[in-house]
Amino acid sequence: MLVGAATSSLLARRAAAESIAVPIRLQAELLAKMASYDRNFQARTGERVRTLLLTKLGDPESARAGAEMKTALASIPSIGGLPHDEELASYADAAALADICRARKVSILYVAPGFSQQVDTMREAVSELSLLTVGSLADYVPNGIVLGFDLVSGRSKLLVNLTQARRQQIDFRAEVLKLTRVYE
Amino acid sequence: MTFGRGRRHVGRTLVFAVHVFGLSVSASARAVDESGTDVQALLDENIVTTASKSLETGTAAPATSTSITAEDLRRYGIHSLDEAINFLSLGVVTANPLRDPDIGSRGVLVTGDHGNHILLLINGHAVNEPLYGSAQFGRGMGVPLEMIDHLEVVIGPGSVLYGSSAMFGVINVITKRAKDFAGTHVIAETEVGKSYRVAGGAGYQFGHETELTLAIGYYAQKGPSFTFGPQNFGVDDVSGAPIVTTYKGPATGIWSGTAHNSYYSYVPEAVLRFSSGNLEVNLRGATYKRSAPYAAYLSPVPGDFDYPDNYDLDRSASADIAYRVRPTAVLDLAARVYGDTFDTQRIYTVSASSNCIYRGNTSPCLYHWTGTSQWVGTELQGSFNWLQDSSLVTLVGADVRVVSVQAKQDVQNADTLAYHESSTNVIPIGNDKVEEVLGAYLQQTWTPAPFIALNAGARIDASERYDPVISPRFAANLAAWRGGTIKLIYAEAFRAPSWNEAQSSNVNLLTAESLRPERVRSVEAVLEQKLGAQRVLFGVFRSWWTDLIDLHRLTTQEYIDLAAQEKLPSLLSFSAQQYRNITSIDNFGFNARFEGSFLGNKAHYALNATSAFTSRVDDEYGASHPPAVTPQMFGNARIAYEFGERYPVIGLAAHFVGKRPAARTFEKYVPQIAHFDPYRFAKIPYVEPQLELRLTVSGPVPVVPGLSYRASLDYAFSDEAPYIVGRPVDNHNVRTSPTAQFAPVDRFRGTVGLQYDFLP
Repeated sequence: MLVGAATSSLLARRAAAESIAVPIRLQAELLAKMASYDRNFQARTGERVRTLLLTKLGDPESARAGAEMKTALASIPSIGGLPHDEELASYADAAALADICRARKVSILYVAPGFSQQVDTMREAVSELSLLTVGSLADYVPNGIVLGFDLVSGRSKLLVNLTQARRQQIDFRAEVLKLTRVYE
Repeated sequence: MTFGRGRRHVGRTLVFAVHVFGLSVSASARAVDESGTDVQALLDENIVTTASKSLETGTAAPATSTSITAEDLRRYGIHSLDEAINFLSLGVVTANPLRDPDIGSRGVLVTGDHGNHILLLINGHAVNEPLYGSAQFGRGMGVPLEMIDHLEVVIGPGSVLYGSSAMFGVINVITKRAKDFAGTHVIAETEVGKSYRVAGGAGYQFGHETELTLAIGYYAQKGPSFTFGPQNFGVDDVSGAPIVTTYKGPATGIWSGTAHNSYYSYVPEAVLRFSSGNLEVNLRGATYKRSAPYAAYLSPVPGDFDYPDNYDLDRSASADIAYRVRPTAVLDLAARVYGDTFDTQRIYTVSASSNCIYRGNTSPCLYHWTGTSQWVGTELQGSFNWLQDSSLVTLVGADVRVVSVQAKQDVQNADTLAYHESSTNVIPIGNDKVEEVLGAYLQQTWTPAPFIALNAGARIDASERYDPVISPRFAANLAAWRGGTIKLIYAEAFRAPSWNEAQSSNVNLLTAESLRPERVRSVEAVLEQKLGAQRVLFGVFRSWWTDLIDLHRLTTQEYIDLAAQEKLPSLLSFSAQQYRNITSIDNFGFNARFEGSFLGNKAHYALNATSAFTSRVDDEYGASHPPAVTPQMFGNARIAYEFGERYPVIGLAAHFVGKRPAARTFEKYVPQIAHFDPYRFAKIPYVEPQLELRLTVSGPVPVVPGLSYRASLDYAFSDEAPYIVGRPVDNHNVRTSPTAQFAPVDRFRGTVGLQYDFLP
């Protein structure tokens, strides 16, 4: 059965999956910690932290990462001292994404794998929002996602796009910025 | 040492460690986290893949492991895998007999085992070859150090996913991705007057999905010179004159002098990693030529003193092609095909008449042992993430391997190269040229609640050479309180008899009969506690080892019985041995680690300690005794300070091993054979504790962008290694006897190196 499935997959020449390098559970913990080091977090969030987990329709890696992040975040008692809830959403287009974030008062947008080609347009669409965008992949950050995760020598590394952070009114404290790799 | 004294020693150490741990935890409870240390603590989590073949944090993994980063290798002046193990890892230790290092774990080390009790992986590809089960843990590993991204050292039985040889644990060498090795790099390094190494490498990305990293290196070492002896080898049994110990030298019977020419090694090595989308290709090749200045344990023939053409040569190459795909959010599929080739030669020239008995012969003999092995295999693996959130995952896999092994020994006239004997000690025996090995494994992980994770699995390995072996593992991981994790682990592992053990034969060795795989069972409890940016680990373990294969010296009665059964080869000597499942080991102890950073993450430190009490029983010695060479207390400590990006990093590392008996201590020659004196040391030759310090300075060279340096000084306080040089016959106290001595240590070493990076 395995042989058959593997062979059919090989023959199908699927597009390469964008793979997660840092375990999702650790990403969730880092995300929750980093959010609390954002000086504007309380003002942006209000009484409840709403996180949108963006997945790509038809991308198994993306779907799994979204589902796992939802479970992982749900197990964290509070984010920045506030209660929180998470919602999965499939990506349609950048404008619709911005509308959803506005309408649902989303304060954290987690971008699952599968969006390497869409990150640029996503960045433009959400630039005017007060929103912490978090990328599951390191490649997203130089292209405009505010916070991301990389794996370097068996340890996780935080990446921050500082230019985009300012645009999206994210103001990380210096204590944690010094722990990150900063992209300007 | 008696069993009771050993228990008291471990008990006292345990009490001390628990006390220190308690103080640390209470200090942490008072700590207030305001300055990013909580984030730093998460960033310091090791991320590993080896223990369960999945991406997870070290805390969540179903085993105790150490992750050694490339940064650590550079900071602390590490030059080889055995140095990384000694200075930076927990629970594993090596010993250097001036040839291939022996490696052991948690108080157990099998001298001269060619590293076949621990599985070495390079990017997940098993390196241990089937002729000896060997893998190289020193300079001969075959991966340029700059190419290493990190090392995962997993201690404890690990056959559940990897099969044979994972008895001490599994070491996985992960090479760098292109993003972490970007550009082209040139490295030159020298230990002044003793060795040099040159290496080059590159890492390039092609588009979004394709990348290539590669590195080549060449290491050459000659010296230092060591002075031995005088050791009285006595009278030659054949000629009746004193033994000749040097090439065509006088018959003095005395083995002594300064070995200037016979301590060297040469290692060309190359690795390549290519990935494109879901495809990954790993290629590796290395040769390892080396010579040691004395006949070490298990060397079949003591070669002439300081003869430069006595050497061992290994050559190995491997290819591994893997393809991974995720057809649905539930299912991950991976397929891997691999192939390896390995050959080894051992060449010794012997002038002693008793080792060169051929009619009309007046020249020395050249012993030439040659072995080759090739294996190809495929591994298919499926991972079912049933709830898509990794809380319930089933991993199932099968590894099918076809192995071919051949070996033989020739004896030639060293002057004319005419053959005295050709193709003796041939492996394989008979027509069975190929072995088929099947391994199938199943692992179930379940996280029923955020604070508890369960992992259970088993692997079955089958081959026509031994009965099927099942290796289970059960692990529970409990997040007991804030920052605290308790792990409970039960695991088993095995080692299949190597082809050499199973089929080798010569005048001193009777072919083994029905060897069984060696087995180990282990239980372990581990507590890990995060204290801000500091982490503490404390674990206790107990393990039981059975059916260990060792050489058994035939008794007179066994000779008589074999003769009666007509199983006695005509040329078998009266001191012949046979590989048998004759040894068992029982051990317990603890591992402790304290590590972290301070001064705003500029200072990093770690302290690793292992203490064990190990009792070994074998029929050679006849009673329980501590294993030779194996320290029952060992560890390391390190601290480094970073002055800033443009300034040097200073690293100080220390490696400590406690008192331990020397190799061959517990051998016993057959008393009833007249010309072999019964020998057991009147006083067990313990080697004094060793402390090795290494100071390293590294950083960018000012003014020259792209150029960096590393310089280290290493000092060993003791000049004794736990190996006995020379013949232990007639020797009752190695410290005072003139006829045997401990192996020497290269006590002072200084290394300087430069690296130039051509960045893209």
